[in-house]
Formats: sequence, C-alpha cells, structure tokens
Amino acid sequence: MAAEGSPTEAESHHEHSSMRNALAETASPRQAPMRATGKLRVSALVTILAFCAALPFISPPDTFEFTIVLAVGLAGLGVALLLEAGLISFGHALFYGMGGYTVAALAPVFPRFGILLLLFGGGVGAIVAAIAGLFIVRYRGVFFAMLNLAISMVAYSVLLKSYAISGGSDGMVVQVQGLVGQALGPGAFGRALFYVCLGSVIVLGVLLQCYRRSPAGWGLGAIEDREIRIEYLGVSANRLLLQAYVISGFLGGFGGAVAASAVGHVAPDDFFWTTSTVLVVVAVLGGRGVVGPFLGAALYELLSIAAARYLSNSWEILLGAVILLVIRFAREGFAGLPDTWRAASLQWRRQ
Amino acid sequence: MLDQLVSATIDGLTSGATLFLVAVGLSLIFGVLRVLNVAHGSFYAIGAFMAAVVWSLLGAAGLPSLLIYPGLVVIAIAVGIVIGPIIERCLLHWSFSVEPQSRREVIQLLATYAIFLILEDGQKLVFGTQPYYSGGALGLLGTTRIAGILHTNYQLLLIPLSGIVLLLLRLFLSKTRSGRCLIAVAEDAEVSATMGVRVTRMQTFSFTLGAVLAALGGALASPAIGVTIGIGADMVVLSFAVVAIAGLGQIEGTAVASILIGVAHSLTVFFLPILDTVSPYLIMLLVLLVRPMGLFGMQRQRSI
Repeated sequence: MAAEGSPTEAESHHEHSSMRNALAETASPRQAPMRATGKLRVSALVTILAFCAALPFISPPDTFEFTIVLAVGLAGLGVALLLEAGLISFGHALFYGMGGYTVAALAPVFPRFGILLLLFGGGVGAIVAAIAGLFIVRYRGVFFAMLNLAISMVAYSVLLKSYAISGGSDGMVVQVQGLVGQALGPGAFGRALFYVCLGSVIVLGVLLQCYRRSPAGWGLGAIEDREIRIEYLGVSANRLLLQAYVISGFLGGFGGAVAASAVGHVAPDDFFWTTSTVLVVVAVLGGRGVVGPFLGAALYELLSIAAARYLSNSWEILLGAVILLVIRFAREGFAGLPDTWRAASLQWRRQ
Repeated sequence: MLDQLVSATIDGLTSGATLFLVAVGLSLIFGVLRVLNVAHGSFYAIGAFMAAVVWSLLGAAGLPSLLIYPGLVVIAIAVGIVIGPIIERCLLHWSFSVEPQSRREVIQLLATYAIFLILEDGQKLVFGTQPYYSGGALGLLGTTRIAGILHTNYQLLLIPLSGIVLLLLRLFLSKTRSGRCLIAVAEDAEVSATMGVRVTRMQTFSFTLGAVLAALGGALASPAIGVTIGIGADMVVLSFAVVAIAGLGQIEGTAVASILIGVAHSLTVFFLPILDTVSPYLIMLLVLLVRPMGLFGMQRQRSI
C-alpha cells in the first residue's frame, strides 16, 4: 500500500510547483488535443448546449426526463473522474443518496432557500467523501471498488433502521418548490430546475475541465499509469486521490440533490447498489472526459425507456450486457468511439 | 448470560462455516486468476435457490427426504460445473490479455460486475421474486440441547463439514499434481507456463472450483435461511470482507476470518442488535487500518 509520500515542509514552494509541472508534462501526452480539433470540439459543444437549452421548448412534457439525465450525468461524472485514476467505485450511490436526503431534510427547515439547497446537497456529498475518503483513498483496485460498495451498503442498512430520521423504507418527501425566496408552480419549477441544472452542468463542467488540465488532474492519469513514480516526484498520490474523491463526492451529492428535487421524493433505494450500478453504467458507457458521462446518461435514459416498453423484467441483464459490450469493444466509452475507431483502422491498415 | 454467550458462539460458528465455503472460493479465484469475482455472491444465491427447488421437488415426487443431504452436494457441484466454465471461458477469459495491467483490473472488475447484474436478474426470471423456504430439511437429523437452547444437528454438522472441506482443499493443493500446478499458476502464470503447466486449463478449473464452493455454501445454508432475491449481493460484500480481513489468497486465514466474522456477527445480534449489519464491516475497517494487506496477507513488492 502506498505510504504517505507528501513533500516535506523544508521543500521550497517553487521546487514543489516545478515538480508538479514536470508531472503535468510527462503524464499521458496522448490526451493532448490538437488545436484545430479543439476549436471544432468547442463549437460542437456550444451547438449541443444550445440544443439542450431548447429541449424544454421542443418537447415540454419531457423536461423532467431531461433534468434527470443531467442529474445522473453529474453524478456519473464523479465516477468517471475516479475512473481516470484507474479506480472504479461500486458505491457512489452513497453520495447520490446523501445529496437527495440532505435536500429532503433541509427543505422544510429553510423553505426560502429554494434551489440553493442543491449546493447543500453537493456540500454534504463532499463532506461525506472527505470523511470516507481519508480511509478509502489508501486503497486501490479491488479494495477501492469493494470498500466503496461496503460503505454504501452499510449506509443503506443504517438508513432503513433509523425510521425516525429517514422515514425508513418509506423515504421522505422533498419540498423544494421554487427559486431562492420565490415559490413557483410545478410546471414552472420543473423548467426552472432544468435551466438551473443546465447552468450548473456548464459551470461545473468548465471547472472540472480546468481541474483535469491542472497538475493535480494530470496526476490522476499518472496514478493509473505508475503511481510510485509520481511519489518520487514528491507528490502524494493519496492526497491527489483524496481531492478527486471529494470532488467526485460533491458531484454525486449535487446530482442526487437535483434528482430528488425533480422527483419530489427520496427513498433508501437511492443508497442501494442498484443506484451505484446506474452511475457505473453511465460513466463506463459515456467514457472519460467531461462530456462523456452526460452522453452516457442520455443513452442510459433512452435505453431504459426502450427497455420499459419491451423488456421490463430483464433490465439489469440488459445493463450487464451493455457493460460487457462496452468494455470489450469500446473501452473508452461512446465519447471515445472516434479514437477507438481511429486506432482500430490504423491497426487494420498496418496488417 | 453465559448460556446466551455459548449459543451465540455456536450460531456464529455455523454461519461462519457457510461463509467460509463462499469466501474461500472467492479467495481461490483471486489467487489464481487475479480477478475479484463480484459475481461470486450470485453463485451462492443460485446454489441456495436450486437447493430449495430440489427440496420441494423431493416432497412432490414422494422421495425420501433424507435424499436432500447428498442432493445438496450434487446441486452445488452441478451448479458450479455448469456456470463456472461458461462464464470463465466466454465472458472473462479475453480480459486476461488486456494491457496495460492497471487498466486490466478495472476492466475485470467491471466484467464480473456485469456478470453479477446478469445473474441477479436471471434469478428473478427463473425463480421469481417470492422467497423459498426449505426449513423442513433442517430438522431431519434431530436436535441437540446445548446450554439450554435447542440447536439442530444439521447446523451443528456444518461446522465439521466446513473443516473437512478446508482439509480436503489443503490436501488437494499441496499433495496432488494439479493442486501444485494451481499454486504455481497463482505464484507466477508465465513461469509456470514455461514449465509446461496448462495455465488456461488451470484458470478455468480454479474458477469452476470456486463456483462449486460458493454454490455449496448457498446449498448448505438454504435450509436455515429464507432464500430471496438479494442474498447474493449481501453475500458478495460479506465474503469480500472475510477475504480482505484474511488477506487475498490465504486459505487458512479465510477460515479464521470467517469464524471471526460469524461469531462477532452473532454476538452483536445477541448483545448489541443496533450494530448487527455493520459489525463485519467495522471489523474489516479496523483490520485494514492496522494491516492493509489483511491479517495473514503478505506485502507485495512495488515495481517502479
């Protein structure tokens, strides 16, 4: 297990930061995009976002589904972030559920906060992640995956037992009904929530992209490649991972809070491993990067609509099959499909 | 007080006995294939379901009920032999050659997780969502009164039975040719391949053996529990806790850890019911904080 390799206090700040920059330069040059495709990507992204913003007008009754896609995408983004460090969490439902329950518990206390409560959901997710993370980030691989699962299962059973606080298996009603200090009707609130959520997705997406391109973000890829090397550079892998874990907890909590406000109800199932499955599927299906998980969430939603119509009893079989197919044939997820195809065609031509 | 302590300990030993069978299978698969089989709990659940179904079939066919005992073992072997090779060959084997190695671990976790999802839902389709009970099989061997509390002989027999399985497994691994090959593959697959060990065959074999052990645990436990959807998910986390406490790949350690978990769990049920579901994980947490590789695990070398 990795020992604490944090830089000593004697080490000057300049030296430290130059090491980190060296780390940023050496880690995974494969991900550096070319300038021209970068511009293309930005314009494509703007088009997609504009299209998303128009969605509630194109199909008003589906605003709820669109909001859920964004919420699940945000939480899936948290799982995908850890995936960059080569770690998979089977227990992110913990943060998702915490976010939802936080909103449910605080909404009657601060009725005028309205949509601001979403930030509390994210905040509690981050705090829980910071506490659990102190323990969890010391582990890698199977331990990381299973300890996450174990903690979320414990939270689930504790929640079921503490009927007085959490409503047990009945769950709780979420009464978020407006913007800050201003109540809205159900339809208007649904639309407002969607736009608030879309706005947060953009803000959080940009922030997250900045983080991914910072030395700390590059460090995540380096943890996957060769962890011990970055410790020789004087950077603590565990500390990098803890940062990522807290960010990921925030995203999970925020996503859960949005979903709870949209649905108007939280239930212990939000903590159950089936919810973690959704987040894993979304992250794996979408692939790495900031856009991937939202793509994954949209695909997941489409898949679940199709499945509800044709195979309502074998939903998880379908999910399992999708995961198997994606990791077998499109390892970088749907967002990475162009790269996967390019690599495959290159190899084919060489043969 | 003392009576309660005694009977809690006996309860713990019996549940630890089936837990050991499942966990040692998980440990074996990890030792040889380096894969943490998330679908392991599903093997346990399928074994339990099949046992309950066979029990009701026995009743319906008018056959002597005592046939259930050899039946349980046959069921476990059948389940493992049918499921194990198919899953290992068709769904898992391709992942052994994934490079780089750091990526392989995530992919294998996801693969077994996907198999777990498929099997969990498959159980719903095949067995329905109603719980199965085969409690009748519990009383056939009579009961014994220990410290004032009746225990079924069946459950008491589970303890020596698991001991026998442990002994057979140890004898197989250290005395037979294929057992030694298995250990060689667990140590270093490449080197053992150069020595003429059929690595692929060993991998399939150990996965199947692990599946048989998990199904055996499920089949033996089924008379004592209500067999419902969801026992597989609980079991995989619990058996992982056992294996993590023991150290991955440690067979005798797994026995010690399952007794520890089983007894600690039943003691909390008796004396501190508020902690009953959490106690295995608390123990795991404590052990991992002090010894990250588990009680009997060895520190692995880190390569640069």
